[in-house]
Amino acid sequence: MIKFNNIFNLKITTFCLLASVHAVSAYSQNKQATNVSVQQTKSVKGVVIDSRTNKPVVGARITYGKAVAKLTDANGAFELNVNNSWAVIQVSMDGYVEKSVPVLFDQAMQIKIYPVGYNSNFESTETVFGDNSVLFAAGSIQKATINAWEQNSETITSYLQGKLSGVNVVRKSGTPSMGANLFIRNIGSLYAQNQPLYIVDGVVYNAEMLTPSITSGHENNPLQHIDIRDIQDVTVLKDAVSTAIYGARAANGIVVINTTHAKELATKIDLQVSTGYNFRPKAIPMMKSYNYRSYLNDVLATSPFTGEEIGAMPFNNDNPNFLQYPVYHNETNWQNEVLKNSLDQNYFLRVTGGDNIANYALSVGYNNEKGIIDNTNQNRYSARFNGDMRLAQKLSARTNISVGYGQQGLKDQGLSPKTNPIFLSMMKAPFLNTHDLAADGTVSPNYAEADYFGYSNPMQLVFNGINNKKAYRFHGSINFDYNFNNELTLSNLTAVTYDKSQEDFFIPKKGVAKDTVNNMEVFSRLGTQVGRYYSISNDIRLEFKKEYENEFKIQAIGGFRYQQHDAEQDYALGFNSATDHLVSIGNSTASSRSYGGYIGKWANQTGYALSNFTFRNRYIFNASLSLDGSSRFGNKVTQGVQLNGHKYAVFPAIGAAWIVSNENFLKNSQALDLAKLRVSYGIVGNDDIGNFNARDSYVSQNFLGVQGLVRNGVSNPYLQWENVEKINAGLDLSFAQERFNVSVDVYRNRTKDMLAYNRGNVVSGVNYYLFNNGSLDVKGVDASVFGRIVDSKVKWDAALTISHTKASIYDIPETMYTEYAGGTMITKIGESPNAFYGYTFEGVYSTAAEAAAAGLGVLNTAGEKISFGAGDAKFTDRNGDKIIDDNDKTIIGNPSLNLYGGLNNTITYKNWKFGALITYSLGNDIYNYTRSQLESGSNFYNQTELLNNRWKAEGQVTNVPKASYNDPMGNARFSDRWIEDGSYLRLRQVSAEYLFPVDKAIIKYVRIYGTANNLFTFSKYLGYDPEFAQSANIFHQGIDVTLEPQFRSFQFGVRLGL
Amino acid sequence: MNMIRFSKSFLIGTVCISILAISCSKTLDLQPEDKLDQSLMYNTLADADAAVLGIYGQFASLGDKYILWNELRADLVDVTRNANPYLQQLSNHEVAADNPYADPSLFYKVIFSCNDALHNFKIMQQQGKLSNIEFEQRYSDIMVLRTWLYLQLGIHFGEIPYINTNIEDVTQIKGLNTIQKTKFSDLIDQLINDVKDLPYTEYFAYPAGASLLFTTDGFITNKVFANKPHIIGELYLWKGNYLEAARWYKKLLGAEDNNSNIGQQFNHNRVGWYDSADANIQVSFARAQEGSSLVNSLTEGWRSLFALPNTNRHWNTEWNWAIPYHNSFAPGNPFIELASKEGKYQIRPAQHIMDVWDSKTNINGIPWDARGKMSYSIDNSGDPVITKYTDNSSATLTLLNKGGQWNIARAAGAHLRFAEAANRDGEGRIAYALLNNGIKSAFYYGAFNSNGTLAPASFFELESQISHKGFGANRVMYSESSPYHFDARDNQYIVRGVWYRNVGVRGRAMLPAIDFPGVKFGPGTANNYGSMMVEYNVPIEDLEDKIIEEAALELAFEGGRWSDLVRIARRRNDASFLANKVYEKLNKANNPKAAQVRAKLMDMNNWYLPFKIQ
Repeated sequence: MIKFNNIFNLKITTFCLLASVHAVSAYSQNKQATNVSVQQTKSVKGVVIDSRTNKPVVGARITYGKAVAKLTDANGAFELNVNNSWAVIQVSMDGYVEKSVPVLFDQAMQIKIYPVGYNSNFESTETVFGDNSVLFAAGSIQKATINAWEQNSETITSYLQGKLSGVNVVRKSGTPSMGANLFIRNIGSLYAQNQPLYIVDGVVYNAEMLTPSITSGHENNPLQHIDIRDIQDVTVLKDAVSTAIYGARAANGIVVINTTHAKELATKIDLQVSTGYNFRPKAIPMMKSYNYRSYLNDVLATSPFTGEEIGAMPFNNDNPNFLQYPVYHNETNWQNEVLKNSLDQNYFLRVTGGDNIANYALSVGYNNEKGIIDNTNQNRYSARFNGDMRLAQKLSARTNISVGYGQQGLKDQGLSPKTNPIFLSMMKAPFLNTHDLAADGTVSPNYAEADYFGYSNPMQLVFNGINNKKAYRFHGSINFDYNFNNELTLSNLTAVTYDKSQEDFFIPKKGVAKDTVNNMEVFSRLGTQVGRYYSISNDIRLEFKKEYENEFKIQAIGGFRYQQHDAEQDYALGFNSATDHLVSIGNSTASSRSYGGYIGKWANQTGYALSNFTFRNRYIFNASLSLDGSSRFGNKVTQGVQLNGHKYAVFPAIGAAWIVSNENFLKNSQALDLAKLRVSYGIVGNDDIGNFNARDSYVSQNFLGVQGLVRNGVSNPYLQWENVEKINAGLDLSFAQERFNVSVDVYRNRTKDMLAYNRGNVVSGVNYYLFNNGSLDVKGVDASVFGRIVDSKVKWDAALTISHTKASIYDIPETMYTEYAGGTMITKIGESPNAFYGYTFEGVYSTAAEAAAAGLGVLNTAGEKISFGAGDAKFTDRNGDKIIDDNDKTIIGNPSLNLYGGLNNTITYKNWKFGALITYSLGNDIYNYTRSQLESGSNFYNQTELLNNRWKAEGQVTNVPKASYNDPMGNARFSDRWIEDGSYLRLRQVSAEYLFPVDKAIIKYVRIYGTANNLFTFSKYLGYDPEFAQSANIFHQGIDVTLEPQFRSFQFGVRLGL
Repeated sequence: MNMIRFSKSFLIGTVCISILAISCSKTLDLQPEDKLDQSLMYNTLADADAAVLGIYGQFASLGDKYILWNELRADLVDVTRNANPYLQQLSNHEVAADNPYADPSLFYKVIFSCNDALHNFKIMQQQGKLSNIEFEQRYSDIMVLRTWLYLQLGIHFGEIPYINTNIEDVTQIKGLNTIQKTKFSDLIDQLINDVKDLPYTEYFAYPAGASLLFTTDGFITNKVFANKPHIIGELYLWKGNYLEAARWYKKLLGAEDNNSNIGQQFNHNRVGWYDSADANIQVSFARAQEGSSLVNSLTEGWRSLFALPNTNRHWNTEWNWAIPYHNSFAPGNPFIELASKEGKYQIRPAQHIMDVWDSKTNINGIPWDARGKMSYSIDNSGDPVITKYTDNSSATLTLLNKGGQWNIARAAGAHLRFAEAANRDGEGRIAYALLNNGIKSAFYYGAFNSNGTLAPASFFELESQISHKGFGANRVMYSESSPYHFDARDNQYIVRGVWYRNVGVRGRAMLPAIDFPGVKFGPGTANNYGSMMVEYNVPIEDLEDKIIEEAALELAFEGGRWSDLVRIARRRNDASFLANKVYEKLNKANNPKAAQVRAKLMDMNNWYLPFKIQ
């Protein structure tokens, strides 16, 4: 297998190299041919029309090759001479999407151009190739122009949701700036990174979550530091040929982000002020006091407590003279106490301008955003300075410098039942009060202590707990371009990133459940952490670009890139501060303190080359290649090439496209503007294999308080990158002067040499080890349909994306079972990874006779069979042995997406502009862990109203098993009871903007706008919201562990242009 | 102008930087900073010491398995009602392959580290990074430790994979799946071969002044390292080379023969009498005939042996190998969870051994063997709880204070092992002496005072206090180099042999010598006062039975029982020796599976835990 891959690699590599050479030599042959052929000059006439007004455009540029350029006259008409029949002319105009059109000789051409922002197959974009047009690329590339002023509460990842095909965005939670998981064409790996590579202004922007947060359920999002209003456009590169020059980091696709640079010399000032209102989500219907008490006593009755003991419990004492009567006779809706509506504020200012030597774009922003957990908030500051300088005639420079700072007040979320206030707000007894109560019912200003069962009071955590985070990022780059002549450019791009996040937490003693950790009783918990990341990179490239006789275009780039990373995490955790007022780590008991973290450097070295050829504007060939070396690769890697004592991975890719519509037989077509076929093939890689996993190392092993060293298991010096082989075929069509456009891609990605855990053995002392011997298949179809639906006074542009994808394991050493949040996930050959694997729930035995007739049971720890009785859950006995055990599990759901996408609408009418975005996801399942806790019927947690229907008496027919303490029969076990359909359709965003008519001499524009987010969600999901992600780890997808949900919000703002 | 110059220098600079970055192959050679790269390890003595300490750190987490394997499978420890099914499987000898307690991987993890260290120590020596003596001490230490680990695996799993080479990388792991297993008998030969030519086999793994000898967290390391004579002696016992076994155990017993500190010299490993300063570790009663006056204390007497820290002199006279635990450091004492009421209380003393203790009579007529009362206690709810594992003199051990020690080998055990070897080697009388009331009482042939105290009337009679063959004038002395030479001469003015305080294992426990029909006593040489042995003729197996029984009484729960039973049963080729004892435990506990287990254990092939390589 490895051998084959090697040869295979080698073949395409050679092909790519040869292709480059051939093309050049082919040209020289062609050149002779053209010289011989008679140069016929023919005249072409046409008119350029504005799509907005349907009127002719005056002053549009018509170019043909490098030599011929004309402007349209007052009637929008043009005429120019071309010297061959395959000629294609470019039509461009500031503020419009450039278009390339094959010439017609026998009739006047009508060319409609669309303003920037209109989705077009003719889009040009700046990507890793440099400035280029999507039209003349063979790869799968999609661009989104961004003008997101009205959506400033988004981060770049969440903003892209629903807008690009093949790009699945799952927002992690409702916490401000949490960001989203972004999967381009599904996943490519089980254990390595599945998030794309982000390239901001030409520089790799490391967006990995290197340091886990010490606040449970939270992740620091490095992308939060890019203010969405600073982004000019985003281009997503999906296939191999468009990404291969990023070799070992390109497996998950690339998101290229370009920030705003000044476009004109005049000084422009944009100012935005906005405010927003966030609505807490609708509460999950939990039992009220009366029903809860009945439930509680039901559970207690099955516990070891005796009847007298239960009767004596204070909540069962209904004597109004009882001292604690007021404490246990309340009706509190805890969710309404913890989740609150909140208000946001937001300011942003940008100044652009310059002279003919230097341009600048300077922006500063301040966002104050609040979460819907009471007392949580974020203050985010950002500043950016982008400059363009012409240093000499041939030398220009470009700088991008940004600084971001965010300060966030958080709360624990996710799997922390003692400290997650949202979870506590659901399970907390409704008959308790948030505050201490005196015997006469007087409410004390103090929040109540942990309750009778030791469950924390969420109000204590909300108001006296601390989870603070400060995050900074500096990202600066400087690029020099030296143009030797029109064809040859040398560029050097140097960038520095410094990122730091600092966190503190304090969980108070008062009101919070006690714990036992590390041999000690824990009352209060304290912690602090600093995570640091530093990176320096340099990318030098030589670009050659030339157009020969309007027939043959060539672009060739060769470069060398180096990046060094340095990351560190240091944390200290401690327990038991003297009082709840001393909250910093130094106040914890010295002996309880523990320290930890990691530190490490890694580096990449990449040599890369790419070439693009276009022949007669119809035939396009792309080839790209990189040689990627990394400090992470082992020293006995068998693949790749050996250079300088290191193994370099080879990533070749080729692509070809054919613009059929430029062929003579189609170019006359009135209906069809564009028809383009694309195919590409290549190999890209994933280097996220751990910094030092391939090295033999020693770790510290204490003997009492003395540190010794032991070998860190058996090393794997063969550890290498994962290879992903990608095949893509696409078709782009535009009809009726671009009113209707379709773009469809089918693809297959196969990951080879995928990291997989291999079973070790007893004698090696290794249970599992990582080896590159897994394989994963991803197949899918991406489609987008876009165009103008209504084209009258009202313009309605719409873009629909539909993506279907399926991942399946092609090869892994053994079927794997992963456990998370009480659920089991199976990953096996032929199935999609991480499928929910559990029992099938068939109902509840209504009578003892029914249970006896079924004859099912479970084995207790001693191996004796215990039979299910009336009121117990009925599970499918798959193997027919009458015992419900692991052998009866089956796949009961799958969290991976089936169909997803969005419908994006823009409607303009006079000075009004309306936007609406609908997103949807179909066919994915969710494991509702939260509900499995709130409907388990096995503990003292408050339960959802469903539990009112629990089985209570012989003969009762219901679907809810009886209450039973500690659930000895496993009625609440991981079964399809907790698996829900996660499909949803969401009116994700609606906006309206009005442009005031103003005197342009004084003020350029005044816009007011309103935006509504997450307005309606149609879903059968029973939790707060079907969209969430605990982390980017694929084994955590689709598991609802009680995160801060998405919420509805409104924003209102004013923009001024000066 | 400036601009042109600038652009030129920019170009040149860029090109230079790029060439530098490309040519420097070190840029991809980054080493971890929170781990130690292989290249930085095994360069200095400190690295070698760190390797040794790391291995013992790993070793410390084997305590619970060692105890469960050796005690719960045998006849002295039983499960409680709280025991999980896996522990029940161990006790009932029906261990399934998935039983986590039968997983030897932790042992192999330590072996893996040992192999790595042994491999690298050799390289260090060749490269001159360790002096010869530094190499010899560390190499021998780790080799003996590895030998002990393999011996344990052999005892419990029968056939096991024996790996003595370093595992370089993961590609070797698959090959290990099909590795040939070594038979237990071959394994013993192999292990003997491993240790027989070791360069450094002293009693103390590291002599005074060695860098591995230090005090930390209230413990001293001198008896933390594997005790070589103890382990090698045991190997020879398994092999059946009794003289060699006796030699090694004697080396241990006589470890302090030449110590100028007489407290050390006369008490250390002697199983001697009460010496307030250095050896307050006897069974004693405040009032002779009153059972309730038993000195049952964590700071003095026999029970304190299991409670004192290893820096204590009394502790030091008895123990040869013990691993300390400390609350602040992993792994922490595992026995609290296992055996104490504070923890899960999953194991308890078997009813059978409790009955045996209670069937003995003390020399003062107290109707029980006091060691029982000091090995377990009956708690308020009437449950017997093993206290040997969790006694601690400085602070009570709880789940929140997991200190204490994993005690592995001590003098009384070595005496009994020596006795086992001597008995099998035809020197039953020496064995008898160490088992019962000491050298003097078994060998003295001379005059007594009217109160029965020894009063040798001549040098000849005084020298009868040195072990010998025969009686009276017919005695034949052992050469001084013989392991059977024990000098117990006791004359304050003339000479005191290093063994003069020896009182025998039973003597120290205040139990009378065991009666054998073949042992006859006569009066002393003067005035019929006293009683001295005049004939010794005990069948080897009879005495061996008693030695093994004594081991149960003295060393119960300490982790030697199963290997004792297996060793003797194998030696006699008599499975019933083991099967009956386990049967008795289960039967006394009314375990319905008792008979079934006996039947199973009657086949020696069923003595072993299942070994699942993968």
